[in-house]
Amino acid sequence: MPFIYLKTGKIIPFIENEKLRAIILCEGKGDAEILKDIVEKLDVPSRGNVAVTDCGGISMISEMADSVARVARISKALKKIAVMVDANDQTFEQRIEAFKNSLKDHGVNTDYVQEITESLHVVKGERIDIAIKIAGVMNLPFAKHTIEDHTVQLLMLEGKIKHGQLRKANSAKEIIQSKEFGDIIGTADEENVKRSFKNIIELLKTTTN
Amino acid sequence: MITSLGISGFRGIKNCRIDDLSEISLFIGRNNSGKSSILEALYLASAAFNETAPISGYATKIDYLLNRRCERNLRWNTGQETLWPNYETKIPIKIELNLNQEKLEMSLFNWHHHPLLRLSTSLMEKLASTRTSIPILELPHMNHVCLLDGSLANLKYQTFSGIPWASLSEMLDEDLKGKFYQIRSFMDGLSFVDSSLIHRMENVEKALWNRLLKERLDKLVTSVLKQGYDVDIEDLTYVPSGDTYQLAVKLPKTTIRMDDLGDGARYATVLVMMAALAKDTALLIEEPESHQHPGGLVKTLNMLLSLAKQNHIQIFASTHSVEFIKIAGEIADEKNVRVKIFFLERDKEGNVEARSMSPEDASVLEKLGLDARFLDIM
Repeated sequence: MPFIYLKTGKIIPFIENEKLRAIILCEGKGDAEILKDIVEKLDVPSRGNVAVTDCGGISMISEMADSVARVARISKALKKIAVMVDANDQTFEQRIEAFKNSLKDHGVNTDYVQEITESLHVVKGERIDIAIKIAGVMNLPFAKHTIEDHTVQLLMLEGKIKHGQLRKANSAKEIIQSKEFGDIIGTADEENVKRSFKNIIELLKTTTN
Repeated sequence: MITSLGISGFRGIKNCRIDDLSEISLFIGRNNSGKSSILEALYLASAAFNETAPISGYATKIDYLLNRRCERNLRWNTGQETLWPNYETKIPIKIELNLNQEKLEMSLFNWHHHPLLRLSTSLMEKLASTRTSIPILELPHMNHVCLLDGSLANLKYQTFSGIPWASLSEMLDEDLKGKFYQIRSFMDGLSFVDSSLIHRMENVEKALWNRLLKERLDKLVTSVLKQGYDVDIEDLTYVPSGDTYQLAVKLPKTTIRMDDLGDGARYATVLVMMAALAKDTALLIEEPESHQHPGGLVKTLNMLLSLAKQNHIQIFASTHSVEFIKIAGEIADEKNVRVKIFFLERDKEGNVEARSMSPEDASVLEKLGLDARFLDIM
């Protein structure tokens, strides 16, 4: 059971007393579900137990950074904490910088940062690393960029929507919510999932290794 | 206030050190992680200053500790080993406390029936030079004194004798005397509260009721029972019971004995009575949530924390309840009382490690779907 989904209301996973190696914090429930779909679709391997949870729809960077800092301080067995945040109306660089600054405000040493990709940085700590992933596809014509951008990209690769349809929407969420696509990731071609969620898969690799 | 503690060789604890203790310190963790043992160690330390345990029904704190977990009528000579890890009594139990910025070290040896206080070499030299007639423990590297009177006839080391507190106090200079007086008073008043007391209401009444009534603190009990336990109480009284009297609750149309109230109401009564009478000391409470519906727990905790703040009572409690942690955190926040939660983990060798967190930390973990009681997985 390498991936453990928290907030399922089940207590059994904790009883087993198996240590968690990493935890991934998503902004909202929907983001965690997308992550779960990707893990299941691609059968992502992990070196240890990884918990996946959400911050209850908190979109304030400061509040999420506070949660991350507290978990980092309290934990002993965790090697990595990953946080996935929507870019919204900022660039990857601006969003990552804002998150790093907020972590610093909450007492986390951010002196040593490894840039994995433009949207994925890892704050290296003595005991624990914190991976910051910004979700969104910048070349899509939306005012705000979110994890749903990747799903829209997948729908385009699958031929289920056309680029022209995007201009009518302000965000990917509008497109996803306005149509019934069913199990988008589950039914999609594996290669298309890999292409559209490339950066998020990178986050999973960084977290699980 | 006790700000840190160190325990070695007691019950299942080989070594344990906890710093940054708070006005309210809550101990959580899996079964056998050392929560109760820490409370018991603090109680044992208090036995160095006052060995009696009137509410428990046992003559001494040691007797109470020997029988608290399972009543088998054990006594020092018949069951002392139960206090030691693996029943190995050769190495003394050591408890170290930082109290009012003073370091206190206590040891319980298998040849002495209550903990001895370790004093600094200079203080021992001072004692020896001031009152050469008072024998002290003449063992190499062991500067211990016995603060209590008692029968020492059977001691292995006949050179050692007890020093009554008054004598020790006289010998200390004024500054130290003041500080020692506070420490002694704090440790002297330290009480252990667990739900077994609800089956010993007679002891509780005998030990506390007169004092409570004298200051009309019985009103606090009335208030908690009324608000938290749906008891339409008008007042408390005494009713005949056999050839004695016992505490009873006056209701609008009848009077019922305290013994016949529910377990939760009786535990709340005990907690409130003890907190109402305590001052400048600590209460050690095992599972305050026992028998409690959240409604009653809120009212009891509200009263308990008000009294703790008013009477400068430090609270140490063990709990398995996330609900209790949450309620305690919220009420303490309202009353501006500091709470710290210590998650305890014991390794196979018996070393206990404590991870501290605030109620806010526990609340954040909960929001993330993580249960603070299972902190060992992360």
